[in-house]
Parts: sequence; C-alpha cells; structure tokens
Amino acid sequence: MENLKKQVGRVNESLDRYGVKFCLYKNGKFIDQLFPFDAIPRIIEYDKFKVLEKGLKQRAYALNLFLNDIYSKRSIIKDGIVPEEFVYDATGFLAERVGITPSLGVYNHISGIDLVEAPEGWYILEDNLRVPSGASYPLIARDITRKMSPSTFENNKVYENRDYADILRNMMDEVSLGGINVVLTPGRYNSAFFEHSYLAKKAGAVLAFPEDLEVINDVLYYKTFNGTPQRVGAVYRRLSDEYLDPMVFVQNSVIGVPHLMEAYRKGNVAIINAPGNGVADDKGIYYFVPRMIKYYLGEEPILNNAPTYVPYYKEDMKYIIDNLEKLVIKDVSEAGGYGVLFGRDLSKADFEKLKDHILAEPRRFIAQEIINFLDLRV
Amino acid sequence: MKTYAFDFKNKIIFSKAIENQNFILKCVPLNYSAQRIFDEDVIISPSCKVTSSEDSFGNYTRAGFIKCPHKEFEYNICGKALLGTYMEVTPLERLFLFESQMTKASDEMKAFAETIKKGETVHKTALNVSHAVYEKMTYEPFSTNVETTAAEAFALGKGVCQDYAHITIALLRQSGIAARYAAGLMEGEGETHAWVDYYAGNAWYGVDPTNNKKIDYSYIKISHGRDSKDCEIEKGVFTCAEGIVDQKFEISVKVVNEDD
Repeated sequence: MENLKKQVGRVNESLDRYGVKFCLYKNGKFIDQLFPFDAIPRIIEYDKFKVLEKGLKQRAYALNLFLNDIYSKRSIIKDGIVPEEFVYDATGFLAERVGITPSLGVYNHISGIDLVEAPEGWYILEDNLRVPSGASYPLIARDITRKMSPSTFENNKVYENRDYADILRNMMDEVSLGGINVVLTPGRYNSAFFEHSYLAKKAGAVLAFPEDLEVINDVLYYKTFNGTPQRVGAVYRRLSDEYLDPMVFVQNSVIGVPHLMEAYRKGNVAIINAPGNGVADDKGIYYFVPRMIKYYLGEEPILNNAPTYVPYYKEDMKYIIDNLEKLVIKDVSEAGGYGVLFGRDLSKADFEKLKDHILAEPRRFIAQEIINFLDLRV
Repeated sequence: MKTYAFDFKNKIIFSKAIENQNFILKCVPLNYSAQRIFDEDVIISPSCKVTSSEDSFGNYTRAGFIKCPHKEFEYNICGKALLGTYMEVTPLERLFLFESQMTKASDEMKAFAETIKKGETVHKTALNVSHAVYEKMTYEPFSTNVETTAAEAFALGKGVCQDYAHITIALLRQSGIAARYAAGLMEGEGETHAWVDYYAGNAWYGVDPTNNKKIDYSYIKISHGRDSKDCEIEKGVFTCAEGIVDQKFEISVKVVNEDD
C-alpha cells in the first residue's frame, strides 16, 4: 500500500492522458472534466463483498420481475402490494411498450444501484435502470493503477474486475436476436462518450452513431462502409427512451432511429436496457423494492433501503410532519440531486411551506432519515 | 347495424423536394365489437414498401420509408364500415383513470369540475361534463394547434375538437371516470374528428363534446389512446438538402350512409 500512495499523482496524470472524461452542462456551457479518482481504495473484505453481491443480484432480479409484471399482468397491483398511482402516474411508465416481450424476458440487463456505507451497514440509495453509466471508469482506473503500482496487486489479493467486458459481451450475445452487437451513442458530445467507445471496443461491439443505423422491413441494420447493411441483433443504446424512435416518441429527435420500436415489437432486435425501465427506478417506487423482493422471490431483502417514508400512507405522513426537521425530503419527479431538501436547513417560512406542500401533494414526495456516511479514515 | 362508405385522403405538399422520409400512419379504422371494416384499401404515394402492425392500444399502424426526392406525400384510406351501437365491452385498462401529458387538469379546471353536477349514473355525469365543456368553450378553427394541452385550451376558452376532447377527458378523470381519446371520422364531409370514450359498468361508451351529444351511430373510430399523442394520424421525419420546408395539408373526408 505504501507504493500505491506514492503513485496517486501519476495514476491521475495517466487517466488524463487516456482521455478518461465525463462532461457537465453548466450555464449552457459544455465542460469536459477529468474523472476524479482516488487510487487509495475503500477496502471491502471478501465475505462482506459476497453479501453485497448476493444482495445486489437479489434486488436486480426482483426489479426485473417487477418490470415483466408491470408491462403484462400487473399482479403486484392487483394483489395490493404497490398502489396503482405509483405506476400509472410515474413519468417512467411507458405505455408504448405494453405488449412487447423483451428477448429472454430481460429488462434491466445493466443496473446501476447506488450504495452508501453507514456505521450500521450498507444502504441502497437508489436504483438506476434506464441508461446507467459508470462501468468503464473503474475498469480503466484499475488498469492504470495496476500498471503504476504492480506490487499492490502482487502483495494483496484483489478481487478481479477485468471480466466485465466479457460479461457484457456474453450478455449481448445471449439476448441477441440474430446479427451483430452495437453500442448506440448519441455522439461525441454526450457526457459519457468516453464510456460508449471504451465499452464497445472492450466488448467487441460496433460503436454506432444514430445515422449508422436504419430499420428496413422491421429489421435493424448497421450501414457498413461498402454499402451492404449488416443485421443488428442487439443494440446497447446509450440514449434515453424519449429520443429512441421519432416515430413513437419525440418526433424531432435527431439522435433516434426511426422505426426502432417496431423492429423491437416484432422481436427482431434486443434493446439494452429495455425501454420503459423508468417505472422501476422512480423515487416513489424505490420504497416498494423490499416488498417486491418478498412478493416475487419469497425472500427477505439482503440489503436495506435507507429508512424511507411515503406520505401517501397516513402513518408515514404523521411521522414526516412530526419529524420534518430531521428528515431529507425528495421530490419524486426530480432526479440527479435536484428537488432534495433538508428539513433542518430550511427557514421557518420555507419549512411551513414545505409542510403544506407535502400535505397537499402527498404522492409527490418521499422522506428519508439522514444517513451518516462512513468516510474513509485518512 | 348501419353500413357507411368512407373515403379519407390527406395530401401533404412540401414547398421543396424532401427525401429519406420515414412515416408512420394510424389511419386505418379499428375493428371491434361495434365496428367491422371491410373492402378497405390503403393507397400511399409515392409508392413504397409498407409494413403493418398494431400499437400498444391495438390501433393499426402502417410504416414506411421513401428514399427518393419527392414534393408530395399522399395517403388515402377508403372502405366500408358496418357499425353497431357505439359501445365496447372490455375490461377496464386502469391507465385511463390517470392524467396524461396533454390532459393534466389545471387548478381552474379542477375548480370548474367541482361546478359540474354529478348525474345519478356515470352516463349522466359524462353527458353533464360534455355539455359543460360545450357551453364553456367556443369553437374556433386555428385558435389552437396540435401541441395545445387541455389546460392551455381551457385558459384560452376556445379550440377545436381535439381541445374539446382533451378538456372533457381531463374533467372526467377528475371525477374518477376513466376516459380515453378517440380519433376518427363522422358522417358527412369535412375533416377528421376527435371525441371521447368514457367507461361505465363494463364497457366504453362515447360522447362528443364538440357537437354536444352522446354517440350512438355514424362515428367511425380510427384509434384511441390516453390523448391525441397516442392517436396522431401521421407522424414523420425527412431530410431536405435545401433547408426549411413548409408543409401544406389537403385533407378530405367523406362518410356516407349506404342504407339510405
């Protein structure tokens, strides 16, 4: 570990040289940023990691079963486990995909589940099942760290992550409906373009821009340089549902592929992740994930949600109103850190305003206990 | 049962030649218990390979791609419809109880909904709502456009059949009645029309707020959905080398009762 400490600076220089970047839009400006990386790791012991792994798998399976159910029989609603408002009112519910069964019944091929560690253990903060990004960064960071400080890896038993690309490739091959695999990127100005190109290369898929793809007679093709279209069996798309197909969603989307949804409906192409996953990673539906695990798998959740209250339920409403100053309130329609309020930070007037707002629109908010993140000792 | 002959044409004239046109049409009337379509013919020009399908609401779609430059695009659907009393017995899709993109009720609309008298039956309430919208709104062509929401049209106080339908749907859903948007053709000559389906008991029934009446016969339904967005008759994208293109629509609809 001593050696690794000395190399911290060089690791970040090297990440810069490799172009490991992500971008932010701020005040209308496009800012290309280095991915900040701390080479000194948070160590998770093998036994604890195995529990985490098992818990994450359990959660991802349950969410996949939920998506299958919501877009077909909806038994979880009929059985009263999830109130229908939380499904039909969710912005992520995609009526346009009802009646389409995805290849092998897989919706959330890739799940980005956010975790935090508190003194009392791990908590799930949220699920990202739409177009989660981030898989490439630990891969390349590990690669570079290994080069800069080989002794760290010789002297310690470090769990391998280099097989991610193989797993990605195998998954794409498995769900493919015949043809090549492509990674569809909206373009080089996307915040995660580095990741799109990196994963395509590593997983042996073709990196495609929207104009490279076309649907002919309900089949998706990649336009090759010599003009012969090549059939696509699986498309790992890195753009959101509303831009996917101008024939079905936002009509003026120039980053979509016309008729892609029809090719999908006819069972001619697998879309990774499935359109419509937003109904399962909504802040409102998060509350119900532990119940989903019990309902679909008949198991107790291995990993816990952060303690959450939904004002939709009367007893939760009472708790929230009585304890607002020690809770964090989240607007379910917002994402990415927006619409998050800490009761303790509000002025008297804002505090009362928030209370009235919650009472008036209970479906719009969730409340959570504030978690003390476990920082690394430096 | 009554038989109607229908002929629906839409010609789009572009100010400059366009190419690479992708389109999807929801222009073929539905088949369901109260409506049988036969002898139908769909003609699309310029001619191209067209694929058929259904969307998530069971509406028929025709999709295609025209590569070559062209200045006109036309589709024509004609055929016959055998119509029973306007009604569809089917389990309720509960999605239609909830607000959609175009039918969110504003505070003014919620207040207006409170003023509408509840009937002894769902049918009577639906008619009351439809009547209230008819009285409240002024029909004025071109006062709104296809993107106008229920709340916007309500605030404006005027609109066309699409707006009347959206507002009625929003108000019905406010009163806990499931409602859906219906697009189609009605007897006579003119344009395409939009009206409202509401759910009562175990079936969908129709009400036409623009004409202030309950629907019995003579309405040929093309499609239904949460709101107009699910029933867009034509959707398309294309490229043009010469910049901005203007589009002109020439729509004609003719529906004739063959029994007379």
